Amino acid sequence: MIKKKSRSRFKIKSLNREKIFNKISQKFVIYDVIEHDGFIEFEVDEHDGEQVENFLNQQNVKVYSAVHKGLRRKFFNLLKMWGVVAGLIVGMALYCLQYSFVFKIEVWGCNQLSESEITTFVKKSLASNFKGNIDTQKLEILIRENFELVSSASVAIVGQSLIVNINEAILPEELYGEFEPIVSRYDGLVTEINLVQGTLNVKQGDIVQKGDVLVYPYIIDGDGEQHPVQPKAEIFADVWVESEDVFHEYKIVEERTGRKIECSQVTLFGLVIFSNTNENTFKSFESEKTSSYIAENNVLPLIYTKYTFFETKTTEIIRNFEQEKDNLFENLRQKALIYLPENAIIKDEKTLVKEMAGVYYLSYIITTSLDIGEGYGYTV
Amino acid sequence: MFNFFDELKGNLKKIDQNLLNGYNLINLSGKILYVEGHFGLTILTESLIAFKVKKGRIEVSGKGLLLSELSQNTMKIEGEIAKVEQF
Repeated sequence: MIKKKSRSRFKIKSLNREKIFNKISQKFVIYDVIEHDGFIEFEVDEHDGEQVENFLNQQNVKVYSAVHKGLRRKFFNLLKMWGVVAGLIVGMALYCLQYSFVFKIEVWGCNQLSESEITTFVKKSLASNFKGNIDTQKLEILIRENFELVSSASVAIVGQSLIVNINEAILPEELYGEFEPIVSRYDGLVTEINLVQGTLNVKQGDIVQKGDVLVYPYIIDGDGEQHPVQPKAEIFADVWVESEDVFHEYKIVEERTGRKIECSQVTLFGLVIFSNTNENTFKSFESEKTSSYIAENNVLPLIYTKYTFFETKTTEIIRNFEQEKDNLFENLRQKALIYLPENAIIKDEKTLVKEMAGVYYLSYIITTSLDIGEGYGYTV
Repeated sequence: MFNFFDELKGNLKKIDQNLLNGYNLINLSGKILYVEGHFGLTILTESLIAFKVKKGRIEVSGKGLLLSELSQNTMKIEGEIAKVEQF
């Protein structure tokens, strides 16, 4: 077992030290007597320290130092520090005092209701934040009475928080208020209607455009009165996805050969002060011009202008539509398929060709069936 | 608290108890000397510690002697104990 030494250490000077020690040892136990530089140091049990000190004083022994060690002594020394003691007492008193108050209001279980609204209401309902003055049962009744959506409420004080647990009532959707109509997300031909609730605005065989109202958010009863409802329906329609291209049997294409001639000049206020001109020998060419200020600070607005002449050549392209039409339609089909929603069922595919003086206008149309009231929009 | 001499007195009943009523010393390897039955210090230095006993005086000499414990009846001396003499 570790024994913590709690002792008082004295430093004295005495001519007849043996006699002093003999007297002290009559009543107390002396430990670790050390002599150095004419001084004698020794220890006694800490609880005997004060008596030994008094005894030494009575014997006219000069005590140069008396150090009291040990936890017990430290504790008592701490107690003697009135500032610390006062601080501790005040701190404890404040802690006890603040523990008697509620400082935080937490609201749980709010989905439709606003937490801040209930928190504000509870704050206003509290006479004071003192725990003793808070009637939780009364608060529960007040919350139920003032919030229609609250079916039950429980209020509890946990620590320094007031916990308000709310159970919201589940109301029919019709009581929520505004409903939006079902509108078409695509252009198409209505093929099938499965109405759950609401009032239809289309019938089978109608052609609808994107944005048209399909089902209104109300029903009309026998008396002709409207009642709002959440519209629910599956409206299937044939939707066409189309891709187009133009094919020229004869085409003239002008393209750059890669050769070019560059010229440049520097001007100041429109006056040419430097010019590097190369003769343009191209029979057929395109030109580009770029200008920029030489100095960034515009102290002297010197403008550097660069001309580039690109040689071009003209090529005639002659193609045969009949030879290439299969590839053309396959490309158009792939292009149209990109815009089909995932897992869409293809009902029909057809091609359209219109020829005008060697120019062929091609269309590829895929017909699919979609629920146009919901799903994903797409464009071609 | 365990007292060696009390144990000894209890076990050695045949020995004259008066022999144990004087002073008693135990020297542990010349490093620690335990004394029971002293009547007070007479000399206290690092090389010599002397004390009175019944019908005499004992001197303990050595190096770096330290009086590590002193009570009314007992004392403990630590250090390089070279010699213990009775006068």
